[in-house]
Amino acid sequence: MKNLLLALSLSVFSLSSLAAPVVIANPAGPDALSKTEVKKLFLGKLKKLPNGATPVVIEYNKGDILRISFHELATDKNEGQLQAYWSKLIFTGKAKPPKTVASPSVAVFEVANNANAIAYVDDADVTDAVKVVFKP
Amino acid sequence: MDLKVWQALPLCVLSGAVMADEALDQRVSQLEQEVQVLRAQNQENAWARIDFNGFYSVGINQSNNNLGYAGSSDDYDFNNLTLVGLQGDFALADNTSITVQLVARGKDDFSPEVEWAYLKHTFDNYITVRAGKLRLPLYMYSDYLEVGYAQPWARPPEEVYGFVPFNSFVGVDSSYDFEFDDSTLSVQGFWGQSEEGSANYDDILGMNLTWMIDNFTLRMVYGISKVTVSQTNQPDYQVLSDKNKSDFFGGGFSYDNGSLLVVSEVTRATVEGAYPDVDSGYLTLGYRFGKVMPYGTVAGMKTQDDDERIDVMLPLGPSGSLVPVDSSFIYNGKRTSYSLGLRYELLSNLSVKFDATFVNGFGDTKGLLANKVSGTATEDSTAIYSIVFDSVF
Repeated sequence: MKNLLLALSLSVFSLSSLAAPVVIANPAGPDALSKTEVKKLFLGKLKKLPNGATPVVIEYNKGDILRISFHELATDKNEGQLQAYWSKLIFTGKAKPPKTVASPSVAVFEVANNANAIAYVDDADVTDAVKVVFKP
Repeated sequence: MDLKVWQALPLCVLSGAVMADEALDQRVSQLEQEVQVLRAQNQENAWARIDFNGFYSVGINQSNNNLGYAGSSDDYDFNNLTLVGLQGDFALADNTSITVQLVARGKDDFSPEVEWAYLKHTFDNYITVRAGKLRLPLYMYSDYLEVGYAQPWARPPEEVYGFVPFNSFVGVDSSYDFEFDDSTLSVQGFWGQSEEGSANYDDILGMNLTWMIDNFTLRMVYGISKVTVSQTNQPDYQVLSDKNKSDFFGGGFSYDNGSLLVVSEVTRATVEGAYPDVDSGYLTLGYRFGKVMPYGTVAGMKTQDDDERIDVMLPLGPSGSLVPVDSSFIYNGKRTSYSLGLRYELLSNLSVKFDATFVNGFGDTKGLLANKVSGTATEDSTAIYSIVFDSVF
């Protein structure tokens, strides 16, 4: 029973935490991003950050649960639509999809080490090395 | 003695801890260095400058007769819808790259053809210029004409996409995206030439505007070209085409909110002389229920200059001699197609589509279908059934 309760509370916790992705930047990066900027960033349309730098967008691998819940909030696209969207850009040579990483800790590491990097993580994974610039 | 040992112990522990700490620091800084080296190596690595992507379709189709609509026949055919495309993008510098796309189609015995091969440079002001072999951007889906996965249908509406006989050109194009708060306006200009079979298309010049506002896309395109049909291969060379001016005008609209999909395009293509001027259009409606999207398309085309036909010389006389023949039966055409289909997402990069297309409305024309013009098939309607798997990788 105890185990069941524990599992239940853990799953509730992980569900609620999955629903809270936040966009992070390097401490030297932009202080805040608008919803439109975030949407354009993660669809490869934003060429410049508010400070004029070329953004380095960091994504998660296809099918990642965080990726799915983030895009539902930020770009309004499901995994299949994202795939079709990027296919169009790739096969017309217009844009390349963002670099992908396997886990939030790698994303945090990348953002902490690159002034122009933007990623999203669960708000529980935010560290002092990065700052939150947008909450969907 | 005992006392000394007892006194020395904390010192030992302390110094041991300090030593361990120093070793750890050393180890950490050594690892940090290694990470730096690896990152630097990664940036120098040639593989980091190369991207490979591909698309693949395998399909089967069959028609209820031999009108030859969209390459079908009354026998099942695996080759018609089957193709593989491979694309390599090679970065020469941060803003300069080369892209090569090879497509091998079942209907061409899988002999690969270069569809894209261009050098691309993006200037500091974000104007992009490409030079080389490019797709002719006449239609909304021209740029990814053969990437079935990125299209809702089993095949693009034949009445609209099937009329212009060439899909790529060699030349240059330039594009720029105007980014507004809620929308993006893409402007693209293109210039070049193309050769397809015995026909030459010179002085191809055109421009398109694509305005994307959230889920809406609006598109306009205008292009011109001069069409020359080589004298040696065409019996009708004498009048039909010698640098004849041709115009193409197209308008497109799409709406996609993730569930509802509406796509429509209208086009008007004209050529001076006896070659037909054609108006065409289609409307597609689809609705996604999770992984399943049923769709329906109505498409139509009609030649607009039926009263301008002239006699052409065809080898239909005794022993193949040239005789004048009224060209109306060749170049007058109209038809309507109705498609019902179902797209199902098997994986996030693999879909399967089932499609049934019914075609009629030829009136007193041959519908610009070669088998009907030549008389090898005489039916006034046709139905084509297709199943196609589309993937990107």
